[in-house]
Amino acid sequence: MSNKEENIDLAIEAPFLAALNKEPIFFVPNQYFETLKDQIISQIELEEIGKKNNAFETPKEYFENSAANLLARITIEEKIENTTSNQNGFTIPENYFSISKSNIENSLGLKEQKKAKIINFSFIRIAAAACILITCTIGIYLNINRTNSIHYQLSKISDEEIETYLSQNTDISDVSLIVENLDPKAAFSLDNTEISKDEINIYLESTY
Amino acid sequence: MIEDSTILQKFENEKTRHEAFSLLLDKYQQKVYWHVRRMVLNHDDADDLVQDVFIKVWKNLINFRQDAQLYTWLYRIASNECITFLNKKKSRNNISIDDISEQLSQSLNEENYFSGDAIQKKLQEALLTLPDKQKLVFNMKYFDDMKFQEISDVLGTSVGALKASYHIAVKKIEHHLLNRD
Repeated sequence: MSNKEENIDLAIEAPFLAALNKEPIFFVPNQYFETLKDQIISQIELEEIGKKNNAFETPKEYFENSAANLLARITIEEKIENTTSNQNGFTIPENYFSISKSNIENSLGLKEQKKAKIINFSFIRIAAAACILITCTIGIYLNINRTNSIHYQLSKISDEEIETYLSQNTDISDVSLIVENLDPKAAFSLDNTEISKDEINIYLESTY
Repeated sequence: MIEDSTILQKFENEKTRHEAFSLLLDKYQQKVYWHVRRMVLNHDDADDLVQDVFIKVWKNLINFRQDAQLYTWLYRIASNECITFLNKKKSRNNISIDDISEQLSQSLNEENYFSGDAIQKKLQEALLTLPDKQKLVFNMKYFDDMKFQEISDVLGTSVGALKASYHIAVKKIEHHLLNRD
């Protein structure tokens, strides 16, 4: 379709529009197009200067090639890593070592053994030591109390010492005191004792 | 007029690169400017965009594949810059398409921007009612007399879809011109 043929439709469909003047109808500043070219070239030169003054310069086509260089480097690194991880250059199936242990155990028929229950004895040890300590303490305490009591001390005095003490330190007034403190359950009684009159007289003479 | 192939050959040689670019500017700067100006209406915006377009051309012309036309490649860069600019303007101001059309319509009333008569102004107002891409299609076809295949190379849209879009745009504008005061 030629340009003329394309415009035929416009003349039929929009005759009013087709008849309009198509010349530019906007004002443009004087000498604008004469200076526009210089303005654009100046702008471009400024950009070029700015580009040259950039403190950090990159090699030519650095950014165009950087992606490819990085990918190549990654590929090499992966190759090296794979080679070093597979010792002596042999390849092994993926996850071989992680599943080999369970495979071996299964083939040997080993079952996982129950773990023995471990009792913690530390508490029992402490309790036993505490019991022994308490028992010893009570025993020592009771023993000390017993040896310190007046009855225990008196029982240790021999009869001779008592007699000597009484012969030296009693007088007639003590008799009544002694008689008053006599144990009514005492095993002796005057009735059962055969004291002669002579003995009584001797006693009376010696005490009065 | 110098051929595109000559410009490209000169540009490939580093010694004649600036000369080639100067020739390219001589040949295409006005076409690109008017293409941009019709889209953004404002001269200052168009001036900034044209400079951006040609800076991009300078940076990327070395990679330009000669199986495409230099003309359509330039238009593609310019069209993309226009669409990006208009979208940014809408999102930056957080205003609707109707509001941005209203702003652009007010620009037409400023004497230092618009020199057309009443009917030309009406045409521009009608163009403001079109979506950006449809307006691009209409401008390239109506004002620049580009073939649908060339417009297809610029916008990456099929010829059939472009014809349909242009047909709809023409109907809308004709209706606008005939029915509004």
